[in-house]
Amino acid sequence: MPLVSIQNLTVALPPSADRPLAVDDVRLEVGRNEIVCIVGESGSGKSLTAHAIMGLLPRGVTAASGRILFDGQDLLQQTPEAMRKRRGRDIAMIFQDPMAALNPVVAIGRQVTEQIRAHRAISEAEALRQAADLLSQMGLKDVDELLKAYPHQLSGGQRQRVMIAMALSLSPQLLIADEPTTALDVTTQAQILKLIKKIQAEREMSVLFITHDFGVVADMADKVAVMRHGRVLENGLVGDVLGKPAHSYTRALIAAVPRGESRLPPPPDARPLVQVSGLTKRFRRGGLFGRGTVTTAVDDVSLTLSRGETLGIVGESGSGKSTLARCMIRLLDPDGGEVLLDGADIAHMKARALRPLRRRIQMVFQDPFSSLNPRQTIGDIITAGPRVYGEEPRQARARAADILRLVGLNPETMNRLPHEFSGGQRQRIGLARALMLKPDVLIADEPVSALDVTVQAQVLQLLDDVRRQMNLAMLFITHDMRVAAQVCHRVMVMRHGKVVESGPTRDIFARPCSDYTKALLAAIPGRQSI
Amino acid sequence: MKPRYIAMRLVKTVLVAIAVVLLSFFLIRLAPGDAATVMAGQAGYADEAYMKSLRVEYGLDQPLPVQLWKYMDTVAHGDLGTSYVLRRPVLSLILERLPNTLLLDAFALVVAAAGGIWLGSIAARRPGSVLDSANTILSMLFYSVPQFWLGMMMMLLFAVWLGWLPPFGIETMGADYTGLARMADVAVHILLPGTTLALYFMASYARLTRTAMIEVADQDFVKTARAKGISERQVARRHILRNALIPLITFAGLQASILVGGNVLVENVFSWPGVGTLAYEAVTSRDNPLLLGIFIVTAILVSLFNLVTDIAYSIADPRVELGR
Repeated sequence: MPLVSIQNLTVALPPSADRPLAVDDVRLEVGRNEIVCIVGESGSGKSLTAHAIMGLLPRGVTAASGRILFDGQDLLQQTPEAMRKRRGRDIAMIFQDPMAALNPVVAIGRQVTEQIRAHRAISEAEALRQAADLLSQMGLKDVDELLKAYPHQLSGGQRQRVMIAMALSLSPQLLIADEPTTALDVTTQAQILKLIKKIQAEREMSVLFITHDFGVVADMADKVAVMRHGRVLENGLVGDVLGKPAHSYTRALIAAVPRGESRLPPPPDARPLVQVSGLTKRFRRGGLFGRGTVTTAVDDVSLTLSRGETLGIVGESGSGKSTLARCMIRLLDPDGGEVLLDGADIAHMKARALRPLRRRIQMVFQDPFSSLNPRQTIGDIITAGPRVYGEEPRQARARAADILRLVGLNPETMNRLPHEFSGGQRQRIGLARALMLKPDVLIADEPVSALDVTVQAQVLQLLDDVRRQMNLAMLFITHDMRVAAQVCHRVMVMRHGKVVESGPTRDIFARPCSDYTKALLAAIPGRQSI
Repeated sequence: MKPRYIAMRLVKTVLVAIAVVLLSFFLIRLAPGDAATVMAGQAGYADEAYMKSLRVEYGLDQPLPVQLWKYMDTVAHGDLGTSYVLRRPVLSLILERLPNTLLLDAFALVVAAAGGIWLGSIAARRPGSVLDSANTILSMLFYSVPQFWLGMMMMLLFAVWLGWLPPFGIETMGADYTGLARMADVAVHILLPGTTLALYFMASYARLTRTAMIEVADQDFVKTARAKGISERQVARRHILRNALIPLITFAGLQASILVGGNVLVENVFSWPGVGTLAYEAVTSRDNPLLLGIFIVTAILVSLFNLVTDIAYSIADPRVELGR
């Protein structure tokens, strides 16, 4: 008998939702001592399926029919109190963003002991001893300090290890991991995935692993279920599904995973349009009365960028890649070095002299939700720039229609507000806004990291098409080596504000020189199998 | 705790007090008439010679900068001058009244916070329910009704019609209670003015608590808490309320600052012998030294309350560091 057997589970959404069912007649089994991955994009119902097992469906969302058998007992028929006792003890769960998942104002130790003491009658001191033990099993060091620390004092990797320690504190039979590495850096992700795999094998527990990333599936799963629109489309052993996907959507999902191989040849040598040399940016904290600390976010960075070329800046969080971009478009004033655009140094230009040049460098931002003013129509958003530069509103709107068509949107949507669009569409709007100013240089800061894989593939394709058509020089910032490989001619790897390595993408992937680049490449999930 | 940071804040408090003296010294003199006019009026006659002798006596005949310099000099020596009307040192007048005001404030603050947080957390448990709507309506009502009117209605209801509570004052005149009996007497007297003040702020606490708790209840760490299998009560108390209370600290600090200068309206309605009634007397009798003294003491207390608020905040929320 499998540990978990979900039979014809249907989860209904409240009447106000855009669809009646979030999960539709799902059948799924998780055997003992195995890892089952549910893979799907946002809105596929994968997360709600997991929450239904936990008995933690959001308010207004209900399991309308079906059964969830756990060890032979139907969880949907249990009393709330019985479910509470099971949670944390028999079934534990870890979440996507460990920073948000830990209470910011409660010490780590207390958060771990709280769970232990909710289920076992032991003293706080004894629980703390157990917590310390668990944390060191998770590969954490200075455990006693850590128990007294607060979540914001830990790194992302440490926080997720704490979450895992907490989840394992009562040796549950089932661990549900809901996108546990999506918010982490690539190298940290690789470590956490390895850790989950190791403890699963050691403790012979069952893991239900939810992800959108087929690379992660390839590395983790024994079995995999592909979900879309609340239904399981395909279900089987990971080798079978990856090797011979039966459903066209599965094939599309697998195809959408960036290969991590460069398709683009290095561009022909051309006169650089942008030349950055010795760029440095420091941030000071404190000051006035205190001594303050100085962080060098960008440290002596040089690069060149030509028309028609895409340069990828790759690095993990805190590497200084976004600060570099912000200095290049003078959203920040650099402390040293120069940024030459067609020979003119825009790093030190006075605001008035800089203004006419600003339109030549445009940026597309990471978060398609917060980067568009929610109260302005799309038409107003994308014509604001040209109007500032004196373009006739009527002419700007006419041009806006062309640009919207270019980025694959219907020009008739111009009078709509941002919330009426999906994430991918909003990113197209962000791109249209930038293109309206006829820039020479386009800086894209993690433009696809908030998007689903299939949408991500479309937006990457669009960026590449636009670059080609408009002969743009593109600076593409990403934390994802696979994405960089797909769209960049050259790649520059950054760490702690410094350039670690740079060169043609093909060379970097084939023959990485620095240990850090090698580690980044090794951390790509599913590299061998996909 | 950072002693260096706190020392700097105290220095800033002194600077604030000086700025307040400068500003109010001139602002007060913008109003037509001076103490001499008022005193002459009280005396019933006002010939030029008498007015002049009064002005000489109080130094009002000297140029403003000289008056200011003399005033600053006495203040620097810890003396806030002498009241024109009551003819007593300003500092001792204020210090006599301050404990009454602080007592009333503390009562209002505790009642408002405790009641508001309780109401707010009930409302947050079921947003949109009858209880929640009733709560919102009542909150809006107490928030929008003028305090003096509310005070008078409370007095009418509880003191005049029902006769349950004394209508005004801080204790029963002429009763000369001592010890516990006196405390009980004051406690009965504080109920009406204290509750009048509290109801206004309670509404804000209730609304803030409700909003903050609904917001926090949506956070991931609350989901984590439930996933751990801890009881709903603990989820609500340790995780939701604990985080929702943090923004209330700022509001409590603000409320303390608003109240510390004495609530002129409420104190007057209930004849509460606090700084508020004193300020009212000082304004109506153009008692400039007294008024200035009240301003200075209030400014210093507000600065200190702000400091305490910041320290409390950094204790409640470990992410906040003092001086950052």
